[in-house]
Formats: sequence, structure tokens, C-alpha cells
Amino acid sequence: MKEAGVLVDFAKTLIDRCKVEGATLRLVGGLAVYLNASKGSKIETLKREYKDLDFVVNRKGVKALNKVFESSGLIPDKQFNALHGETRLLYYKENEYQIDIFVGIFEQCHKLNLENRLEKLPYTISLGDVFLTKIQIHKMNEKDVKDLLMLLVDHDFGLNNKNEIEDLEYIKGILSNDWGWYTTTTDNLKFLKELSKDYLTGELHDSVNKTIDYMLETFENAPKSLSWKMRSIIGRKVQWYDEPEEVQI
Amino acid sequence: MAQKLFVRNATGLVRELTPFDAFNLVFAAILIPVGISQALQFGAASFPGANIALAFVLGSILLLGFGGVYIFFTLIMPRSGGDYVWVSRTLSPLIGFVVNVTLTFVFVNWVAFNFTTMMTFFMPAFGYVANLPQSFVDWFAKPGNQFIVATILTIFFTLIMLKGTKFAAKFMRILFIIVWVGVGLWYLGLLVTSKEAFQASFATITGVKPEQIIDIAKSAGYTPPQGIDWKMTILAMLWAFQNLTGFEWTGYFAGEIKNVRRTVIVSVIGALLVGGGLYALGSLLVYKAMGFDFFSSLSYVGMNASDKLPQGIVFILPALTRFLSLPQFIKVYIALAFLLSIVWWTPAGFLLGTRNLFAWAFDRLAPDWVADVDPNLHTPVKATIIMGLYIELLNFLNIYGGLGGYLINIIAVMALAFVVVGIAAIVFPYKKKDLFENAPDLAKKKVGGIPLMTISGIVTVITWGMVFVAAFLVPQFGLKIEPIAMIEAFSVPVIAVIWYLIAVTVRRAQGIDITQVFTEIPPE
Repeated sequence: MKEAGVLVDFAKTLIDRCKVEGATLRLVGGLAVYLNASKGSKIETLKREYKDLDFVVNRKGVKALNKVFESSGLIPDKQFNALHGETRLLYYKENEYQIDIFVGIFEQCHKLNLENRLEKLPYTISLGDVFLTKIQIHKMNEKDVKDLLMLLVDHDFGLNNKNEIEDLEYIKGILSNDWGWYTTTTDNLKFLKELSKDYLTGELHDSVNKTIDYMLETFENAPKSLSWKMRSIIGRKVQWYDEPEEVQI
Repeated sequence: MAQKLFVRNATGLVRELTPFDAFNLVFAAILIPVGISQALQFGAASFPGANIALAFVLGSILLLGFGGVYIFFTLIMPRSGGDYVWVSRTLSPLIGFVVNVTLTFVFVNWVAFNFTTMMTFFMPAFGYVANLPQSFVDWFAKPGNQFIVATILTIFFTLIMLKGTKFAAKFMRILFIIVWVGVGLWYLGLLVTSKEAFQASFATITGVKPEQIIDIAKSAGYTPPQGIDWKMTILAMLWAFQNLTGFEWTGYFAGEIKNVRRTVIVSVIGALLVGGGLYALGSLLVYKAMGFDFFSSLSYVGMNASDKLPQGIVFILPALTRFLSLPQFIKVYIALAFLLSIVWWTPAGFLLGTRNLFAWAFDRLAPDWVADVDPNLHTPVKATIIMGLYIELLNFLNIYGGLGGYLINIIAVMALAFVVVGIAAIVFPYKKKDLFENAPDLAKKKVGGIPLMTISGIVTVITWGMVFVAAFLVPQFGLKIEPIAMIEAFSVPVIAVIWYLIAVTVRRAQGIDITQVFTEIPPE
């Protein structure tokens, strides 16, 4: 287990070195939330351990990434990369932790094409994408809940801070075109609201719940695409999410 | 909302192949359009009196044991490379390698073999149904032209594979629809066409009456059977084994299939039952629509006196589509679907070859660079190109070196390899107790105190053992038992032994004890 600061520093070094070599590498996952939640990450009840590094790289940047990672002493998992290198890469930092890399597309319970959105922030994927990559998990664990609450402590997605409306519009666009995305997101937001009282109190709790209500209302009222409506007719009878598997390494 | 928090250890992986892709891969490997054309064309002539439909039903039932072996092993060790990993970890590394090299050789051979089948049988049939100029069809009969087409196809499929597993799977999904709409229409056409209408259409178009075909067949030595000949049906059943082989392939791609432990059961059993059912149904409908005596006579003449056939065409099933009571454009589409079925299946053969190559490289039996992923294409370019070059070599040997004849002998070698996989399944629960005890519940099931896995292995040894023995004893298999032909057939396992010994020696010189690799199961 590593201190978040140590992991973040190492991640930033890798991102900077990849930039020099021509690759666009960005953090996803818990550390991406951590970097975007300066206030939330300091709340004692939301603090958590960080076990590994998760990145996304642009497809054309894989060659440069390999060069940077290997020259940084990171060890590639040749077998994993041979079978899954089209979408995922796996590296190890000695025997300490693993580094997962998504190639262009983030794919877990739902799919998110990040290929052309990687340069919005210097070290992480965009705020909207950080939110989506966390909220898309069908079976959330405690770390996911803490990460989302952490993010919502710092960001209201346009409720008051109008600079963040662009991110909300982006999220709304994805949810209004995909019933599966919409269902998982709204389910998880409602679940998050139920759980928020276990982690937050007072004004923080109220403000996060207001943001959740505001986001739910925005998503519910947004006009939906034809494919969204067609899929909604089938409803929950057919599974609407993928189930990522844990790999035995 | 009854939701709760879950536990998750690591960043999950969404594997590339969906359950349908897994089914599509093995269903394509059965290759019903080609298999049923061969089974009814050659089978009816080689096994006179055999009920081919019944042979497929019985064959499918017996193959459940063989399917069980591949399912149980996949449940316990879901690793790319399939039987290579299982046998090398259960019996011995050398035996596992030899078995898998042999099977890979046989299966990848089918790619090249089907390219020529496409040009020599299915293209003339398509030309006949679509009324294409004879000169166009004849162009494909020349070896030089066949080699050009086979080379183009090999390059095309190499490029498809270089685009990645997901792209290849998508390509196969599209081809599945194109092919099975056509083959579905063929089944429908057989159903709606009466025997009288079919035979009248045959007489009108060819100018030869069905009775004349029956007479030609009799004069060539054909004896119309009186009822079902059970001996011939059982022999034809062994041939059904060969045509259904491929249904068990899921294990070879295990590392890339979503929820493979669930998927393997549905894909393997599904492909076997659907495949066996469609073979049987197709055979019944052919007999219904064309008449048993007439069709059997036509096949017999095609095999034994083809110069006496009207219009100079071998009447394989897609060619006979011309006489179905269907609109002309549908008949053309059906004949095209039969032709394109080879395009549908080819990525499955390619994928199997590269995945087995990976498994050997992971265990250091092949150079490490074989499994390198190209940083620009994000796919294993070197392994794919090696497979493309190998298939091109097979194209050459097939078109100019008579590899097709050699494939007849290889049936014996394939059967022997499956017998060894069956033996591995028999001993696994006793030899690898730890792995067996920690296996998913289904793999641990017992009947009368004996693991179902062991029972499946016994059934596999008996069924494929029968094929092995029959391949030597039954003239219909066409096996050449002369020493030279046998040496040719068994040269692949011998080459595999030499390869293994060289690899062990080279790795030892590099300070690597290769045998230690096999004490562990490779990572997923």
C-alpha cells in the first residue's frame, strides 16, 4: 500500500515523460479523483488507501508509453499484453503494485471513448469523465462510494459553479443516448444519496445531496434519443451492463 | 432500492469475445455448409445404405463425452492454448506439446484445404446456379489461378487478424448473418420442394431423367439399399465425428472470452447439439426433397463415374439448389452463402493457430518475440504474420503437393491426439488432486463415486479410439496404409518431438529450466 502523494508524484513523472515522447497519458480511477478533489480528499471519513495506478493512453501513444515505462524500470506483463494489448496493458512496479492502462477506450461495466478527450486536464481525464468512470460501476465497493462523494464535495457540476456546466452537459449527452449508462448512473446516484449520511455531516452532506438531486433531475428531464427509448422498452429484463472479471495473475 | 456494497480486488477486465462470439467461433468451426455437402456427397456414396441423419444424431450423442472433457478442463484451467496447457500439466510437457502441435497442424490445414474446396467445388456450384459463363468458372480450376486466389485470401485474412480479435469477431458476426440467412433459406427451400417437383426440374434443366441417373449408378456398381444398413450407419457416424470436430474449440480462446466458465458450457454443448441437429435435419430434408434413391445414385455417380454426369457438373448440394422450387435470386443467394461460409469460418482457424502459438511462447517453447504486441496496431503482428506465412505454405502444398490426400491419413493422427486428451481427463482428478478439489462445482461432479470428468475421458478414449482403428480398417476412409503414407501422416508429431527437444536444449543453454515452467498453470 502506498501513500497517495507518492503514487501521484510517480504518475505525474510518467505523464510528463510520456508527453515529451509524444504520448498522451492521463490518470483514471481513484487517483484521478484524488487529484480533482482537494477539499474532499482531506475529509477523514472519505480517506482511503490506493493500491495501484490506472491510466488511459491514446492509441498512437502506446509505443512511446512502452519506451517510457520500460526505461522507468516498470515490467510489462507480456502474456496479458499479448492477449489483451488491443484494449489494455499491464505493467508492474517491481513487486509493489500493478499499473493498468486502458488504450483509448475505457471499458468496464460501460464503455467510454476517451481517445479525443485526453487533453482537457494536464494529469487526469476530464472532470466529467472522472465522474463517469466511477459512476459506471454496477457493483460499487466502499472505495467507489468514497471517491464519488469526494468528487461531489469539490464539484457541483454547474449547480452553483457555472464553469462545470460543460461537464454536466457532456455527461447528460452520454446518458441521454444510452439507456444502460442512464440506468446505472441514476441507480448509483440514488444509492449514493442513501449512503452519504454515513460519510458526511452538516452542510457538506446537504450540499452533496443537493448536487445529486440536481444531477438526477437534469438527467431525467433531458430529451432521450430513439435508441434510448427503444432500449428502455426492454428494460431490466436484459442485462444493461458488462461484468468485468478479475484476472488471475 | 435493495442495493449493497461489494468487494472488488483489482481493476477488472472486460474480455474481448462475447458469449455469442464464443459460440460463433465453434459453430463456424463445425462449418455445416461445407460439412453437409461433403457428408452427403461422399458419405452417401461411400457408405451406401447408411442413414446419414441418424449417423449425425448418434455421433452427436457420443461426442457429448468428448465435449465434456473440453468443458471440464476449461472450467479448471481457462487458459488460451486449451489442450496444450491441460495435457502438458497433467501428463507431461512433451506429450502436451506434441498433441497440440498435431491438432494445430490439422486445424490450420483446414484453412488452406477449404480455400481450394471453395474454388473446386463451391465456385462451380455457384456458377452453375447463377448461370455464370463457363470460362469464369473454369478459371478457378487452374492450379496457378487457385494459388493466386488462395494467396489473396490469405493476405486478406492476415489483414483482418492484424486489426485485432474484436474486429475479427465482428467480421465473423456479419458473415454469420449473411451465411445463415442463405443456409436458412436452403433448409426452407428443401422443405417446400416436393420430390416430384425437384426431379421434374432436374429432368427439364439437365435433359436427363432421374431414372437414368439411377440406372447409370447401378451400372457403375451401386446397389440400392433395402432399408437402413446399420453397419454403414455406424461407419458413417465415425465420419460425423470428423465433421462435428471444432465444436469443442472454446478452450483454445479461453483467455479472451467473457465469463468463459459460464460461456464454455453453452458454446460447446450448444454448438454440438445445434450442429448435430442441423446436420441431421439437413440430411432428412435432402432425402425428402430429392428422393433417397435418386440422391444416393447422383452422389454415387459423382464419386465413381463423374464423366457420366449431365452438364459436366458435380452435383454437390449448393449446385442442386438450382432445382429447388424457389425464385432464382434466392437460389443464387443460397449458392453464394455456401461459398461464403468458408470466408465465415476462416478467422476461427487463424485465431486458433495464433493462440496456440502464444501458449508455446509463454512456456518458452517458441521464441518470446512471437507474442510481442505491435505498439502501433496493438495486436500480435509477428504471430499473425507467422500464421499467414504458414497458411501460404499450406496453400502451396495443397495446390501443388497433394496435401489433400495427406489430410485423409491425418484423421488417424487427429483421433490419436484426442485419445491422449481423453487419457489426460481420466487421470486428472487423481493426479492433480489439489486443482481438482479447488475446481468449480460442476467440474467436480461425480457419478457413482467416479468423477464425471474421468467418465467423459473414458467415453472420449473409446469414441476416438474407434475412429483411429476404423481409419486403418475401413476402406471408405480412404486411408493409405502404405509405409510412406503413414510416415507422412505421423511426421508432424515426430517434428513436434524434435522441436521440443531443441527448445529444451536451447533454453537450458540460456540458463532456463523449461520443465519448471510446467509445474505451474500459466496466468490468465
